[in-house]
Amino acid sequence: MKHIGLIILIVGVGLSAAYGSRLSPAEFDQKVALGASSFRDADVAAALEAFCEALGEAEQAHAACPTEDDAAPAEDADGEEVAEDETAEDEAAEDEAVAEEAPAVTRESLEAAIAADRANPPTDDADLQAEYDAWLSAREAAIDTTLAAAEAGVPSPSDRLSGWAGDSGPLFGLGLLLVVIGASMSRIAVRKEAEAEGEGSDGREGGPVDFGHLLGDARDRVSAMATEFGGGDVQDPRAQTKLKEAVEGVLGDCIEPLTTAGPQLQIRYGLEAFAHVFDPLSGAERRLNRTWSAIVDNHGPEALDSVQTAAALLDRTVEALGAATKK
Amino acid sequence: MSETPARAAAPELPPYRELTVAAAVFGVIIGAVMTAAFTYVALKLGFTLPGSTVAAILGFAVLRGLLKKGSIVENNINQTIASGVNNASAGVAFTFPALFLLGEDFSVVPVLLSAIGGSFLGIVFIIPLRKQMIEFERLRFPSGIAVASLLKSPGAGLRQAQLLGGGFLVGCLFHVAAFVGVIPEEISLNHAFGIPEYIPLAFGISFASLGAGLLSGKGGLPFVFGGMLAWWVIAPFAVGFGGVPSPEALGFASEPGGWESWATWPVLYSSMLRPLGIGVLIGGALSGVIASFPALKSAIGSLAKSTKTAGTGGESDELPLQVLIGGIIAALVVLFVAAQLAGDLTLVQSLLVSVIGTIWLGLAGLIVAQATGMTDISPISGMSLIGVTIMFFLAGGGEGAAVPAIILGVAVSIGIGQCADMMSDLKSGHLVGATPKRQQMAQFAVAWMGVPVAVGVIYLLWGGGGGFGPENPDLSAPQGAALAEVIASLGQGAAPLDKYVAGTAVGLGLGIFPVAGLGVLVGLAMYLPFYITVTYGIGAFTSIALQKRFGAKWMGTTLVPVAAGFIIGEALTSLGYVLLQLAFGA
Repeated sequence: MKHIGLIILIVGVGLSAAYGSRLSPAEFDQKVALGASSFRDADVAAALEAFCEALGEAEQAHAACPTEDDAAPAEDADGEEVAEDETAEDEAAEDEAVAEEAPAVTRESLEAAIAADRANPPTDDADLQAEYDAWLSAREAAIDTTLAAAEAGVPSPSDRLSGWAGDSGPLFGLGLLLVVIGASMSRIAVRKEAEAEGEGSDGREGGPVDFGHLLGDARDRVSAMATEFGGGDVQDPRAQTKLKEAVEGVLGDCIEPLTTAGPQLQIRYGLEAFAHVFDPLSGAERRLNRTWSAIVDNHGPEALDSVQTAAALLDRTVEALGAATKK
Repeated sequence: MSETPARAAAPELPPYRELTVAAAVFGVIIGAVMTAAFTYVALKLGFTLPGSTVAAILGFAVLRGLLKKGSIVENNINQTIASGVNNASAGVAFTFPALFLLGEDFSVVPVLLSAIGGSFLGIVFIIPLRKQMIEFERLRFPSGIAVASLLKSPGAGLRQAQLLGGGFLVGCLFHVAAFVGVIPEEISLNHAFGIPEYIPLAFGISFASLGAGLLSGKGGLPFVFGGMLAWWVIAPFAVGFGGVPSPEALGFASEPGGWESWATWPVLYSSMLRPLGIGVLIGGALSGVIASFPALKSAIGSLAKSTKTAGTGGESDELPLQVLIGGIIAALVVLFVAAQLAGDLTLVQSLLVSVIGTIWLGLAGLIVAQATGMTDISPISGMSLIGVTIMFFLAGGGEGAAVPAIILGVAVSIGIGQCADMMSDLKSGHLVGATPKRQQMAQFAVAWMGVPVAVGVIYLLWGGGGGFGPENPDLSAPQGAALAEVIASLGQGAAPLDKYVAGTAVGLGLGIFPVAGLGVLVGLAMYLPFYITVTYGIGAFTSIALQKRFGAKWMGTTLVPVAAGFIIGEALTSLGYVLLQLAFGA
């Protein structure tokens, strides 16, 4: 059942995400208008570049082609370079003024601009003329897309939502249903698996049986450490080294596998009981880490205090696990 | 209980150094310097750098080296404070410049209030979740592990120090090679295999991502599968079944040059997968809160219990619940005042903006902390963007809405950054045995300090440093400019509500599956470009294979320091590179 649930979940996520990500019809139309316009504009730019390049090779100039002066730094009346920010601000102000004065783009204005350029060919050279005509043709081909892009409005959030729901909603809903069914089946299967792992059964790694044994082992080892370390000179380097190695051992052998087994514990005893067990267990882990740090910093009393607290917290963990198993 | 003879015989030692004046002062100084520098870096490059590793290394030099009395947990406080102060650099630099770029009139007072309120809110929201995320869910926080490895290095033994150093060198070497162009930052195999760009076969050369994957192991796999689903299933499906405008639909007989790039980035990624991913992240986080409610209840109960213990003279490891509740109320009032001062909002609008903003900050903070905990990648910009969008519409959505939306957006951005930073620091603290309460108090005390520094730097650069924005190639303020663009488009009504709704539903559905954080991981995978996910995935799969071969103990003693070295190496190389850029104006 777990695998079937997983397969249903994967299909459901794929379906719901595929249809959830689809553009609403209004946004799709907007993308078509803007996309077509950007590609036509790219064609126009490429045709202009080819014309300007040919023109440059023939050592001629045209108003539409950038000149070297365009790239030179701006100069004021005295020939001094104008500060960069000043130039940028001026340009921004000019753009704003142009935007305010510029008439709306119309078919007539675009066609008139092309007709004016067509009436004033830059050269008699046949090759240059061909490039020039190609540029004009590209501009003509871009008229419709430019107008469509200018007219394409931004769909409102509610239009997007209603349009998407009408277009992709049913298949998205089906996918979502499969997600819920697949996830629920997996959840039930995992819970049943955990319940089947009874106390004292096969003792699989990471299961609750190991948890109890491992926890008892950790508690005994840490208690022994606390007693032994507390029974001698806590600033004795040999005692400190021994305690440090013992802490590293219990963290690696017991605490790490115990914390890794958390999800199984959660499924078996429920979240609340799991939290009651993991609260002191994690506290003990942190106190053992503090013991380690205090030894490295050569602070025996703090190491002793921390290892004793860790031992007490492990006692509490054992009690909490006992309470959970009795329920 | 009788005192043992040994304790009586022990020499008198001063208390174990943890929250000390030296650590606090040094942390604030490093944090303030990093805030100023990283704010500038954020305006220049569009990203900031993690401060914890730098602070930890400097802490060794000053607290242990110079003062000769620093402890591991004291240095942990130092890095907690430094990164807590520095957190303001990203939050302010990603949002505040938009106000300048939009040419809006505003006062600095509500900006400061909002940023400071957001800083405190982030901390008070995330503190009650420490037990849930670090102790119960055992989230990895790869950068937190890396910082802890660094902090523990004096006692970890020669072998582990060598492994950390080796990882550090490899991380540095590859990052430098990528910076100077010896190797590319991203390798794409699409062209070699003749596969369209919208089915990416690419990976980034990032040892930090690889290290994060190595530290995450099996837990990171849903993130990788989410990326595969998004880019290897949904993307070709969308193109194949007319979800993306085809060349024919655009009016071309054959594919125009650049169509694949256009279909991949502005359409598939920016308009489809990324907004859906944000929705899945939201749904995943919501379902996580619902599913783990009993454990959350227990965690908050534990806080309440510790408050009582502290009240009866016992020492508690947690900050009292009353402080957190008081902090939320105080920060809420500050945000309300900021909203009132920010623009022409009515009292009801200001109340709505501050309350909903606070709720969103809490949820987004949870999302970002979870994502950081599971993958080391935080979707702060996406969550901030939604925050600003919500504020914009609550403020009326018209011309006057931009100023209050951005000003409250600063609070959201800083607050969710604090959530991720605080939780990562608490993870480091857990691993070195620090006292959570002292870390929380330290971060609480300094959270506001980075705000005036970051805001001051922004003013300085705008007024006296030649300005910033898209027209200044040396200081283009990419994130602020992007936010300004979004605000401008929001004015025309462009919010992908359909994707957010669909994604939230999918994320909620994924919450039923018995793997914690599945929705957040899948959402994050959709939110990010695939090459980042692939590098992380290589790390995760390698980690699984190595664990199978060598066992869990070997992973802890060998792989963790190497992976931590990768992360630290890349972070410090980035910092060094940026400092060189700034010094030589490259």
